[in-house]
Amino acid sequence: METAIPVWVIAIPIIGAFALFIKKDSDKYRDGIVIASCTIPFLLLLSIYSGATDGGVFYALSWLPGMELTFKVDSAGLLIALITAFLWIFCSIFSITYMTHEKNRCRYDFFSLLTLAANLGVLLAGDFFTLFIFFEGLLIFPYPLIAHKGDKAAIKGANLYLYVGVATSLLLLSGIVLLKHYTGGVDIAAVSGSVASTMSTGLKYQIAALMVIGFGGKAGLFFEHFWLPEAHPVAPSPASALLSAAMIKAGAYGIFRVVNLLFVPEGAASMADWLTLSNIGYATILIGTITMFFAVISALLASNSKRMLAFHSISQMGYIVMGIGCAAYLGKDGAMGLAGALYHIVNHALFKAALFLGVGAVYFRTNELDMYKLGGLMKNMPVTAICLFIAVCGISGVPLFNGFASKTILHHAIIESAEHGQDSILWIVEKIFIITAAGTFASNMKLFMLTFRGKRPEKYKDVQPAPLPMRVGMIGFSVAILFLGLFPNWLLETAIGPALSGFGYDAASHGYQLLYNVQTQVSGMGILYPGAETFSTVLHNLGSGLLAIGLGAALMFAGMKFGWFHFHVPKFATFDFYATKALRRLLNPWSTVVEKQS
Amino acid sequence: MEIDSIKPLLAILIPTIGSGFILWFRKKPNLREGATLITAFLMFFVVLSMIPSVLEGNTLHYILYSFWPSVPIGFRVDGLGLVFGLVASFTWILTSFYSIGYMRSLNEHAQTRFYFCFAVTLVATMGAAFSNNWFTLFLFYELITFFTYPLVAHHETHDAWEKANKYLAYLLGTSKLFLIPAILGTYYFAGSVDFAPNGIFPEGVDKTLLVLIYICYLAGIGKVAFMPLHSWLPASMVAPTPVSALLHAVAVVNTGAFCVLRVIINIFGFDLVGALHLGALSLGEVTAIIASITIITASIYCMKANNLKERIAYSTVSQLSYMVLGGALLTPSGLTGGIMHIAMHAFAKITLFFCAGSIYVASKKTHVSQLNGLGRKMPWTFAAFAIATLSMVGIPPAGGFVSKWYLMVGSTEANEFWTLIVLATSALLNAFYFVPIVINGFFGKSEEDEEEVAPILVPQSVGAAASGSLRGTVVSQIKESPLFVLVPLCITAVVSMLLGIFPEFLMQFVKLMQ
Repeated sequence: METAIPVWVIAIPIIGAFALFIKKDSDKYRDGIVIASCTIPFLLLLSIYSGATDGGVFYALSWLPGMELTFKVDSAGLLIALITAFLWIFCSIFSITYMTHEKNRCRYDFFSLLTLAANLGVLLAGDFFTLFIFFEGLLIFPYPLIAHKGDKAAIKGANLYLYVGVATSLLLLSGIVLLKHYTGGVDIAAVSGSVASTMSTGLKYQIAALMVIGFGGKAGLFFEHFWLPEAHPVAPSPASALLSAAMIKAGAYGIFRVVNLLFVPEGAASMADWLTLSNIGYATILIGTITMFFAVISALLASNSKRMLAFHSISQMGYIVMGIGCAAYLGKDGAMGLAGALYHIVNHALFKAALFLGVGAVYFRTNELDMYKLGGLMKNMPVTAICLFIAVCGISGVPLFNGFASKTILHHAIIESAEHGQDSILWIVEKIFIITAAGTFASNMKLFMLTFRGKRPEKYKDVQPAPLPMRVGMIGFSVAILFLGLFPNWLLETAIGPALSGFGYDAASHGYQLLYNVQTQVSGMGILYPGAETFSTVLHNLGSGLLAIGLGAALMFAGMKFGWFHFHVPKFATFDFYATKALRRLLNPWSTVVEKQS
Repeated sequence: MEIDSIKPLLAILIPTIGSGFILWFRKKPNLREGATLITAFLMFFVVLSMIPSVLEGNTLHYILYSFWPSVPIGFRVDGLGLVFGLVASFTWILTSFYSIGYMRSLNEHAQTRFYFCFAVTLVATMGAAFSNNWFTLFLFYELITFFTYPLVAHHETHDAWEKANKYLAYLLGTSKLFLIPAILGTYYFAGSVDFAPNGIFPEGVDKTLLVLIYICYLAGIGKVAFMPLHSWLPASMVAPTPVSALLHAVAVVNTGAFCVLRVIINIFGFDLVGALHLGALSLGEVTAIIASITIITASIYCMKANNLKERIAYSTVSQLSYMVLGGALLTPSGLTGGIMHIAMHAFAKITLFFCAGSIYVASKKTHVSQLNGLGRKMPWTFAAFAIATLSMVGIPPAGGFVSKWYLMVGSTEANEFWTLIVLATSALLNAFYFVPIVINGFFGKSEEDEEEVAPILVPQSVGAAASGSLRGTVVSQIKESPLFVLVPLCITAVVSMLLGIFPEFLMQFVKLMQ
């Protein structure tokens, strides 16, 4: 189907952003424009659902001679785009009152809408060139959102974000240029066939590394992650929610396009080509695993709640990247990994947004981000507490909440990979997976308990409930979390299942059949209901979920009792220390001179 | 097809006559500036009128006078020359407005000399852009040097004289020592110094001598500011900002890059540059290596420079080598990137200089470390600075991205993958030295926020005088510059953005060169 709707989806937030300046001083006008500019793209995206599942939606804009800006929307891209627009709607509603605390609202809304446009552009792009252009937009526009407060910490966090972004995007650009050189094009789908046949193995690894590291800067992969815990705590909460829930997904989306599409051989490919893909997948699994484990430890030790959530974002990105890796590692049987990654992208968007908004609501009323200084707010802010509890259950993968579904699928994927490869390292990965889930539960439940249970400090006696627009924002996400949690197969049937075609998977393989039966269009995955599987499988799934929760609960109580969570990592052992130091040296070579003079 | 046309001559005659009027009206500043503006507009329209026939694939020719056969003073307009001519003549209009605001705000002395030399330099720039052969090009090349000297020395302080002399010594020294021998050598071996689409050297010329001539060209064209012959450019920053803006971001320095491209394309030709070897490297690679060293080293100098104009000047040194690198890759995409970068860089860099001048006019601040928090006082200036920064780093949709993309594609086409690394590193360094200015401008806390601000006298400015709001008042705060300063810099910023969104316009000219 060829239609200009993808272009309009991107254009409307941009038009809206500039329309803000018409009546700068009217709050109502501005809020109306912002909500409309987020809602219209969402509706437009819904309208191309049937086109996207049925072969994809195309559009091309001519720009440079021989270089068109192409848009191609398939189910996977559409799903993430929809969830992005959904996030923006509810975060914008939330920010109506939240941002009354802050100055420069017009600037905030302006750049928020531009970020939305760039983010949607990344997801709807049909080739890597177009994708890169929007990716650069996604690098620049969030800067004023992060640096919004303008104090020293905010600028430091935003600078780290920017320079990591600039450096990695140059790697990405080099990768794209090399890709264009060797295959003659940048169209994601068209190139993928020729990549396998035309390139030497070493070249494939080089390009894959350049592009994965290039996208990984935004996704917060291990060793490129250090900007996240600095940038998220300083941004206004709705901005943190958007950054964490939507924007870093653009990085994961890029990795997903590279690993799961670009290097998938077509048709009668040789074993060597599949082996290359497997190796790329294996490396990706390891990066993802290191990321998730390392970040969850950092999260356990954090006391600033937004900093903790930032570490969880990194950790959850680790899950997603691990799933992407599994999909590539398993080759034709990788449907399970891909579905898990896609599902987790959606889920993480929902519960991470809800968590940031919940923490933001508490901050709005108490002006406190340190969770150890809060307590007993359950009575004061019941709606916020319930919403936050739902989100905590979601991120920890408690059965009946959405995280359980995606984590179950991812767990299946890693077990399949380990069985497939007979690889002991992958079995260790599987154990780390469970431990990380336990750590996630411990850390998030700790946040909930410390904030809403326990003894309430005297000064918070008269804390008011969160204002209505903020509650609407949080409830929107909570409902979505519960819905996906209670009907885990719904998303598989409507979006993820159809998205599996077109990635070179064998539709007759066991995993694919379970996830989505192409003939009947039904998902038989036994997550909460047996479906096509036996009741004992469901019990088994529930069992591993509950195992993680049990471990997590034990860890939390033990940690709280013995004060494990107050351990401070020495400064010299953190990346942040070196990164900041290097940056300061690079950016202010004269600063020492000036200080000496004065 | 080659057609005879008087238009190239007109483009040079108009500013010549205009400079006469400027001298004539020396006692009447308003008429004098009127003459400058009218001349600038007329010249631009003449250049514009050449576009249709050049786009049809023609080259415009005009032979003024032949000293001896085969070495005339002649003009020829092709795609490369027209891009350069268009950029220079368009930015002259804006710079003229800007100069009025700047020079009057600061009550500069010797303004007639300033406008006169400016106009003559533009005569020479047009002449260089539309030259038919190296002899003509050389005449105009030297004319530029001589008439920018009084502009650089404008302030007539000890410092200004010293730096202007350095400027002259570098540019004249290189051209006398190396450029003249190179041109004579070319004439000796090829029998002419005309520009031809694929080079002019016949078969069978001694290779060693050709290499020597090529190296002499590279060393002789001092205006391209290769390291280590670059230090005249930072020195020239002692001039008033409009001079730095138009001449040391567009006209003079682009003449240098333009001359090198002429040598590579029209004197030697791609084939010969690729075939000749110096040691194990082809001359294209040699040029690319020199350009790359300049790109990276100048960027590092940039990070150390605290004076804003000096930093921008070093950035110019670095960016000029992008254009040369584009040519030296000897591939269609590389050349496209190089030629496009002439325009992209011109608009971004002139914006940066305009902004530096605007900051100086409004606040008398010259150093990067003083600019914290200034963006909130001067949002338009700093927004323009931000757009130009995007273009310098090469982030879409700013123009710099398009040329960077073509340069990168060109370097893969040429199988010179190391230049990818050079380009990426340079973009990163660009971000490191320009982005903090924008960030600290908008978000930083100024030292004066806490201290008591010394009152700054805002002199009577033209723009403000028109609106009658700021006349001779003393304000305790920095305010945005007068409109005469502000509008040109906004226009150049917007143009640099538009060139990125609609690169098709430039591509038409670039295609003519392939």
